[in-house]
Amino acid sequence: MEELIEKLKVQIIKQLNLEDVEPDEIDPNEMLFDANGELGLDSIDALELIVLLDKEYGIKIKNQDEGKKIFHSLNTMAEYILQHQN
Amino acid sequence: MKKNIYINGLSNISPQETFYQPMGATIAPPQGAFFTCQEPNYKEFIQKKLLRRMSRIVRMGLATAHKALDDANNPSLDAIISGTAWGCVKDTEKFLETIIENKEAYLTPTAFVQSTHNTVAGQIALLHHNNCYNMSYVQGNVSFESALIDAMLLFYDNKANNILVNGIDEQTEKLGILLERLECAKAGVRVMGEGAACFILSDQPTPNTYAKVAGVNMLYRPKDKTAVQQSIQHTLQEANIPLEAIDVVLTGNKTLAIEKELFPTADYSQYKTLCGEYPTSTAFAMAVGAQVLKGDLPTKTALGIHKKAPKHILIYNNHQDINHSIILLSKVSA
Repeated sequence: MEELIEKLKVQIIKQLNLEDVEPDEIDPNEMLFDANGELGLDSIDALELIVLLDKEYGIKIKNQDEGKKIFHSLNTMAEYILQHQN
Repeated sequence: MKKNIYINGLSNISPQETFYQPMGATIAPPQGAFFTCQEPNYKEFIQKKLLRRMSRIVRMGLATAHKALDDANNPSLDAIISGTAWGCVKDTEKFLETIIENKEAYLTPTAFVQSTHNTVAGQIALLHHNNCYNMSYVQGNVSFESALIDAMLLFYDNKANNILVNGIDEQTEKLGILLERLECAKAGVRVMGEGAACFILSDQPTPNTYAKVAGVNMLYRPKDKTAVQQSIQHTLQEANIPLEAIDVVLTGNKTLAIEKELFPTADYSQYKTLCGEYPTSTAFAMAVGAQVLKGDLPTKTALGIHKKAPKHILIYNNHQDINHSIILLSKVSA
């Protein structure tokens, strides 16, 4: 799980072009889509993350409500990947 | 009805150090195959969270818009008009590369959203919470001139008091290769370049006014040299400026046949030796020309202008005998 989280951090930084953000600075429990949060991701980033999951892990997210839970934090993303990866 | 149009604020990102201060005497040479802009620290002007999604051209457009507005004491804008030939070419490349790499699957939205030519003008409007007239001209080598003419028409129709106009294009390695293949940029003829120049035009002068835009004209495939000369003369006549009153010609051309016949006593400066060849390079020329008319000595020196106090500057560019453009600037007190 930890290894996957570290990998996800690097992939997210690259995919979302998070300039000046180092992997160590991302708290795995932090809300990804908190407007006042450190990362403060938005709806376009959500689309980028959906593409990332599909491209890198072969996981398709079709249900919007499910997406909200999966992309709550890095931890929830990693858990979902571990449960659903082929 | 015709009106005087004043440049009340400007900002210029170019291959020379022109953003934080007027161009100095030390001239920066091209970096490798083409001239590359000396860019400012964008974090001074754009929030970090917004910055990450912006390509270079968007950053350059926003930074110059911010600084030009500041320079003009932040007037309320009635129009935002952008001129760009290549648009957000880096994001276009990124989007197309993703299509190829991912075999037309997994396309991400950011590069696509940002790849359209009107991104810069749109982002300026968004950041400044401005929902006024917003237009982008993609008109090849006269994109900037087209934007200028649109602004002039808005002034003449009393539809605007303050207008932001910019001329902006970015260079990439791939674009350079493509232009060479298309013979738009012939190797050894001219070093390619890039730049972003932004102007706040107004129908009233202020203590910060740089110069007056006395005339703009464009020609498409003129039949001969005489047609070009007539067009230049016509532009001057409309502005009531005699030929001999032109002190400086900022020319985008290597050969100066037309210029020297019409203006034998003027000073000449081949401005593309400072910014390189790109479709909206006349915006660079207009920025430095306006600074010279305001009395900026370092810029005058960098351009190699010897006339003591130039009053009228003519900018003339001929792109491959297809697009010719003329911009006439006058000192405000002239």
